[in-house]
Amino acid sequence: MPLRLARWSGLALALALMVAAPLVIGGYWLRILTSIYMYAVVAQGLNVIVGFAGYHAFGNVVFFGLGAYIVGVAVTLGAPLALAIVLAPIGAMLAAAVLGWPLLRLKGHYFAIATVALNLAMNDLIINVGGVTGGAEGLPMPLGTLAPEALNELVYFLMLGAMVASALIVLWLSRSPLGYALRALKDSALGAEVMGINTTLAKTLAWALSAGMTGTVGGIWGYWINFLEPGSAFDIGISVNGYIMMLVGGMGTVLGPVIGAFFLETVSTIIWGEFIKVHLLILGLLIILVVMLLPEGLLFHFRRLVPRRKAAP
Amino acid sequence: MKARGFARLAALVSCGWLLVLGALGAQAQDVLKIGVAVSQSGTFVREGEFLRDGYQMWADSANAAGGIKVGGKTYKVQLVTYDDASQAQTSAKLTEKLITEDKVRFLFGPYSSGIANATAAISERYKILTIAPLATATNLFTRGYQYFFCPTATGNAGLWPVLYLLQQVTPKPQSVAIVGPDDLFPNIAAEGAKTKAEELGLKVVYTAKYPKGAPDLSAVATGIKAGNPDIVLGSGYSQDSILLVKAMRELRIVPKAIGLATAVAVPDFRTALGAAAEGVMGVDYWSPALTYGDQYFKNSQQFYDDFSKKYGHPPYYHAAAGAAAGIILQDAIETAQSLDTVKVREAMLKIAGETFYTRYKFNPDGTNSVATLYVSQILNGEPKTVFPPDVAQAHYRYPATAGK
Amino acid sequence: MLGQTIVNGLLTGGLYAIAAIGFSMVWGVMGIINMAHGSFIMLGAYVSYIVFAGLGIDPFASLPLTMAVLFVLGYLVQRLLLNRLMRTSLLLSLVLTFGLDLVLINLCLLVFSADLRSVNTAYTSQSLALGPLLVPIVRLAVFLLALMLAGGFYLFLNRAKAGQAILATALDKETARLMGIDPLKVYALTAGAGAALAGAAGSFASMLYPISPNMGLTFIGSVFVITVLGGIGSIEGAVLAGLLYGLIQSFAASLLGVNYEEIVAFVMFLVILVLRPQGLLGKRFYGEPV
Repeated sequence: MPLRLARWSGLALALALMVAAPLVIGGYWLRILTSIYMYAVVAQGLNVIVGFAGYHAFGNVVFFGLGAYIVGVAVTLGAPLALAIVLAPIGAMLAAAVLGWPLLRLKGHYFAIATVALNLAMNDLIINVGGVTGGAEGLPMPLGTLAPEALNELVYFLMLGAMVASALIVLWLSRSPLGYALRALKDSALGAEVMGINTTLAKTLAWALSAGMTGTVGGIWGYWINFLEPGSAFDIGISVNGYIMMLVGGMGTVLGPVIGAFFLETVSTIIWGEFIKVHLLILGLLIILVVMLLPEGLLFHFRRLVPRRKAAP
Repeated sequence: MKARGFARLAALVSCGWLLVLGALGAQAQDVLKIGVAVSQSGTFVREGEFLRDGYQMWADSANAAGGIKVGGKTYKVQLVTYDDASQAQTSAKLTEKLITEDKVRFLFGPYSSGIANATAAISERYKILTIAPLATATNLFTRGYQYFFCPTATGNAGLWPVLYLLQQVTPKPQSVAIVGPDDLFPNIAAEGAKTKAEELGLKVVYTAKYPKGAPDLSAVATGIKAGNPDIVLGSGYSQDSILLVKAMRELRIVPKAIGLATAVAVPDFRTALGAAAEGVMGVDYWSPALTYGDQYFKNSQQFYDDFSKKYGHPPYYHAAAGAAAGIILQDAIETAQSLDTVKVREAMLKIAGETFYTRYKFNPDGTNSVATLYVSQILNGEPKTVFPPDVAQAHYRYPATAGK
Repeated sequence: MLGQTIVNGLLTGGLYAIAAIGFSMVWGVMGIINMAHGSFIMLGAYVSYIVFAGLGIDPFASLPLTMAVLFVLGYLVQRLLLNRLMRTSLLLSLVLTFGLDLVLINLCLLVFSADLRSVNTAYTSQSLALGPLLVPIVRLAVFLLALMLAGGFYLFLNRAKAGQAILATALDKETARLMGIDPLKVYALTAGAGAALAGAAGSFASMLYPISPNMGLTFIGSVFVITVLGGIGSIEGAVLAGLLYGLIQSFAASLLGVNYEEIVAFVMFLVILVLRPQGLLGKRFYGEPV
């Protein structure tokens, strides 16, 4: 199996490069890489619920914001970072499990916009609750004593770890009974029921998994940015970016979201620097082009270029 | 003969050329880089661009006068400018880029306190001194930051001058309603106004926080109407202030005075409301009538004229604040005779003086202990400074009933 | 106070209703969620503004022009972009129109800058007094016109041939095709009509609110809620839901406080979605092509 070997050793090499990166680069470029990893996890979280289960959770950023606020509040109250970052996915998963029970009964568009409304409601809830969350005035977290380089490296490795873990989870999912159940569900809910799959449990688990991933990076992000505002923690743009990355890379694949994140974040960083006045315009056109021309994702088209052993159908 | 003459000429020219190059090289080394990440797109595009032009105005003035003199060397100022797209996340990224990639020695702050909260966390860690003239949220100055300074009055005082002015009128107003969008700066200003109003013996009859970006404020106006206050204070931005005044006019609410935290200086406010804007008061951070001066601008009128000539439109307070930030930084650097952050910080705490924009003497928390705010009122369609009396361009009108 | 709360709610609701009808119909007939609907409203407001500022024509008078301009835009977007998606994945339309929304907002920023524009007529901010109640003239006119437009559109769908073709296609695309109706043409017509209604809403909004490239964002949330509340694709449902939504917000603001306006709306939205996803007046055949 030389191809398989080549693929794994390629991945190992890429991973080794990423681990070694902080030795060579610092500051800004490390920050860019860190946000690429972050988006890769957001995209991977969407991949689980959209790519596998077929539920278009457009407002998945709600778990990102939730994770950020869990870490923000916990750290402000004096909890150690490690505990806070463990609490973030737990809280996000619980929320997804509880909310998923009613919301996942909705289908298609209905579910998509219900998640958007959920995100807006959570945003408003934080604003109205105030108190320890800081409400509309935002939550400034303690600065901590880490030197900037050390903090950057810490966040870098946390995000890298989250990205690798989420890819491994998706790899596992793609081969597990849950993964098969979700794919069956995506093709036909009725068919899945007939096959004896507990569809409610399967899709709730999928959303919880998705929420856990998103909540983890949301939490790390919260610690990283050091100042939380509802508007930036629950920014729907984060979901949308993740969604497009997933589409670009290819939904339902293991590495697609990661590739999409690298591609889109690099492109948008370049756009940002070069075309200040029109970066939204270019981003919008890019979205339209991707949807029109390659709805199956880059990976799909890339694969078609690479000769495969498999006989053509 | 001819050939030799040519050779001599060539030698002379190339010597001269080398000298020029050498001089340029030496100049190029003595550049003081200052980082600027401000909004040039997104929600704060207008304010951000004004602010950037203000910073640039100072940099050009300083360079035209020879540069900044530190320890026998003269530095030319170079601003490294990026667009933060009005997003805290982007601004944080760019601040890090300015510090680690562009190696700037100092930073000028972004527009909006929310974004400044994100960037201050970074600049503070890297020990880079920031002057942020338009990041006035009080919470920025209670966190023990060492290297973050704001020459403008902080947000909690954002509506005080209106209240001070209304202390002088007879009969004294008795009651006040305070409303604003639920957001960082407006909340701080509204909270500060409430405390001050109660201190001054006014009765606060109605308060409301409406959602940021609410399309309709009829409900707020109805609430104000029920409270029937003498004064209405609004802590919001241009857009919602327009909606608020419109909704009040529609319900024929005629308080004796309307005071706004930010909107009156912006021309959109007047064009949007037309006659309905008449008599509305607003807090102003700067007025062309101010008579303070500094080495570049002998008074605010001169800044107004210079800026108008250079950019083709008149400056608002954002630009004035930006230019003043530079003048103050220059004073601190030249006092410290060093570019070292810690020494410049010490100098920042020592210096006291004035720019055309404001007098300054900094507290250890980074706020300016002698910052002043002004009140403008729209009189016959034009905003005029009416308070404090020493800079007033016109006498205030009270009760300030609308056009007709 | 109670009376004023009701008046405020109803008048705002009328504008919300007209803002939602086009969106609801596009969703109902084609299954497309048009995220750029808010930008269409914004463009309608700018068209009214340009005509007003340049020629001094009142937005009420230029309403047909505004609607025509937006009709062409909606028609072209459907023909050139969205029709090509109808065969693949409908859910991608959500992403595509989001991209379109970014493009339109950025283009308007380039052309008009972020300055707030306004339409100020002689009767702006004037009110009629009915006993203790104050009824702002512009809002009243907008309310009445919105109801008339909605009524006219209802008649168009149910009486005119083109309208019947739209309904038939919504009911059953295949049967419609057999009857000689070209679904892609009908889709473009529907999108055009939806955009024209958004344009009308924008024209009305130009007289009430400051105009800026981002103004569509303040409508899109309400439009979603009203569409789902009224039943996707239902004209009469959208009108009823718009008025109800206006009233609920108005009462939430006066009873709970203004900052609860939004959260009440979103919670209401989630509850309706879960308990009665077909909305108040939604019919079985509309909406979701599963």
